[in-house]
Amino acid sequence: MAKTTQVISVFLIGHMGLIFFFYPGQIIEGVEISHWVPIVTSFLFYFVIITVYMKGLSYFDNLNVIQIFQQMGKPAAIILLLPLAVYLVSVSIVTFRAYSEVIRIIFLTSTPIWAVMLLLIAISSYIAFLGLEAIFRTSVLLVFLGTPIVLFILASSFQNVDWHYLFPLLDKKVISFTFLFTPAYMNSLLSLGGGFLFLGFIQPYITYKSSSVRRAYFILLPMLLISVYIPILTFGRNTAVLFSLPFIETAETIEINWLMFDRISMFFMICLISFVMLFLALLLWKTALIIRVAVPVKQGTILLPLTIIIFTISKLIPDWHTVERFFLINTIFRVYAMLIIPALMLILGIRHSKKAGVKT
Amino acid sequence: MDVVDKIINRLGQDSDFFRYKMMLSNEPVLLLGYQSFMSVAESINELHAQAARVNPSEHDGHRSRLMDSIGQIIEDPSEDLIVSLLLRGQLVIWFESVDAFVDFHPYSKVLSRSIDAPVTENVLRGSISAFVEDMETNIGLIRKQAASEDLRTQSYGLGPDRQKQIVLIYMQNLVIPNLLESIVKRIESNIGMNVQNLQQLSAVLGFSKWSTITKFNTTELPQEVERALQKGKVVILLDRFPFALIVPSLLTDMFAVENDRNFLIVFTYLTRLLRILGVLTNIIIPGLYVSLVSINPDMLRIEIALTIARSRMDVPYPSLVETLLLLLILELIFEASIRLPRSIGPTLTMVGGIILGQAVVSAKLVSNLLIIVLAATTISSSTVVGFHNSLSIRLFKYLILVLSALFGLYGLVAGMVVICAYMASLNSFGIPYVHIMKSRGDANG
Repeated sequence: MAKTTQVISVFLIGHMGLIFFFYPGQIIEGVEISHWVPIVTSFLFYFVIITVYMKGLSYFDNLNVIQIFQQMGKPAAIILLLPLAVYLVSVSIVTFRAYSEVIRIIFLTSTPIWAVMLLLIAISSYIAFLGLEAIFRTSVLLVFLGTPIVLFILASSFQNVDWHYLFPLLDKKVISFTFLFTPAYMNSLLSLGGGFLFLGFIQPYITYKSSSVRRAYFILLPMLLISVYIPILTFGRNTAVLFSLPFIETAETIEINWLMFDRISMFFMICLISFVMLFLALLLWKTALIIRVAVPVKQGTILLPLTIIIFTISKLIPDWHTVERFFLINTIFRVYAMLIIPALMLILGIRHSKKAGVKT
Repeated sequence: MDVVDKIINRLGQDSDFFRYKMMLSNEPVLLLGYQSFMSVAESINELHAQAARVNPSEHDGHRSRLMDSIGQIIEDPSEDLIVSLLLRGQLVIWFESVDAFVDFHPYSKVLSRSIDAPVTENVLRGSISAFVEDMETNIGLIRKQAASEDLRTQSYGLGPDRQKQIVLIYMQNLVIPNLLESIVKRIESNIGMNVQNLQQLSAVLGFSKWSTITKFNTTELPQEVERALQKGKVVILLDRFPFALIVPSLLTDMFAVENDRNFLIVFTYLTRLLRILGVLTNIIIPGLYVSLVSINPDMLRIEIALTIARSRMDVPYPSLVETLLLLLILELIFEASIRLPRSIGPTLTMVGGIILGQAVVSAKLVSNLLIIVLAATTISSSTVVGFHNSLSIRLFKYLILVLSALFGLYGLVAGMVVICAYMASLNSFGIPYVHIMKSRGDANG
């Protein structure tokens, strides 16, 4: 049964969790003016990649990436999947660690970081343990509960904007596309990338219509623009660049007289954190699925050791700088997962369809 | 020893079991039955009247025509079969001369309530006849309501001696085939199990024992049953149980009742929205209070934060204990008001009102605000449809409460996610709990 709604909601949830935390900071740092150009660039870049990825997958009838690689024989599968597994594990660690830090900064300044991480990882692995279908259904429930709050905050975040900061709309420096090669922009591009990979993992358990997912992708464009432009329009680029989480800082400035709450940005955070929990659960699930290629045990059995390993490593990371170093180290794996895998899918898909064509 | 003696041996020590020898148009017969099920004198009169209609003059075949005319001749009578007939309230007639048994339908005593208004579900605008203990009446109510030739009933006798009857009801053309098939399979493979209560029934159907959300949606109203049948669900009737059990129970059953549709459509949706808000309020508010007071007071406007702090100034323990204390009292009131006879009920309300009203605040045991929070919780816990659902909601709020006390708002959202994930993980016979079922059985996840 096609579950396009559920797939779209996971897709959006995953990206929302990624977009509003680190992405605006990286973009604002990497580019000085006319931020919409790099945003649209990265948006289109991913649109192409996602299209290629789904096109490649569509050549195979309801097979996931792992099964497709396995068709090429076990050694090839292991060689191709190993970097992916490393990527997933490292990305889980970085994400866990980073978001625990964010949660601690926003909600619980006096709570030890391990307690925050423990709850985060416990919930994510519990959801992952419940299975893929539970993850997808939970996403629909969370979208239902979270959308009103998210929309309300997004709408009210325009409260303090000064539209003059919008200009200049186009600048020579931006047109030359030199920003493409700044490390901050690269980082922003990569941090955005983790959200679509799941599309290749969920068949045959869950199927979807790829055209609808592509259409849903366009909802992300306004989100990306808002996440970057709200801080800029509120503070100006020169101030906004000083924040590590610009959108969150900006949301803190919202003041609504008739609400009993002072920091309504917290509610926004609450929703995003719940999205992140689900995103992490999906990451864990994917990792467990890959590990099962090498170690054929039940999905549930693999999750517990995996969770413990990820928790231990995350706990060993002493501070934020190490997290960032970690982020740089796994760049190569990120590139592999985000560029090579979709391209590979397309090549394999075309080859597969030719073979099938010859046979018939 | 022949069958009659065996039966008498087995049931003879029951005080309400009777054996009555008499002549039925010159045939010596023995009547066997339970007088608690029937009015004996009227049954015998009826028997005589029926026998008199058979013309006694022709001697040939008179006996067999007599036996035919008064009831059903039991082919191949075995002891177990006749005992089960007797236990179901039939009068069994033994024709001594030919050793044959006839099953006669007696004048039965009324052992059920008459059809009445529902006791646990209020109907404001809609049909108000509710199910009773008698299964035949219930099936009749459903048939009358559904008025469809596709309505099918399937009866099973369960238990070690196959005496406890349950009936499956479904629409032949609308029912979800997998659902029906797996229910039937489960029942047939567990047919020896006892079903005296819903726990045992859910064991028969193979549901998990420790689930905190019910797998049966129970209703007293035929119109709810009709709607469920329309959606392709299966309805189970249990003998002597004045509720219909609808399988599967879904999340939407918490918020929607069929009776909503007897109002204008705007109000249907508004009411349902209200119920959703009620459930959310009930789950979230106590946790929100604890997290705002003890962990994230910076969330609040400074004036409110100060007011709360002032009202809690003399309260000697943490807000979690304070909330748990009052919630416990509330739960006790809930439970007590179910236990108490109706005539003493108001006393409880009064005493509870005094405790939760002013006394506990002026004694500086809890803060003012908490009373408001708890009042909101209590009121909202009753907006959910069905008492069985409100129990689940009541339990969930403690999870959120404890997590909020540990982690503040972060714990609150963690609790919400866990609850959502838990509900999302449930399914009965392959139909997920959070599924939205449309009419006529088509599915949309």
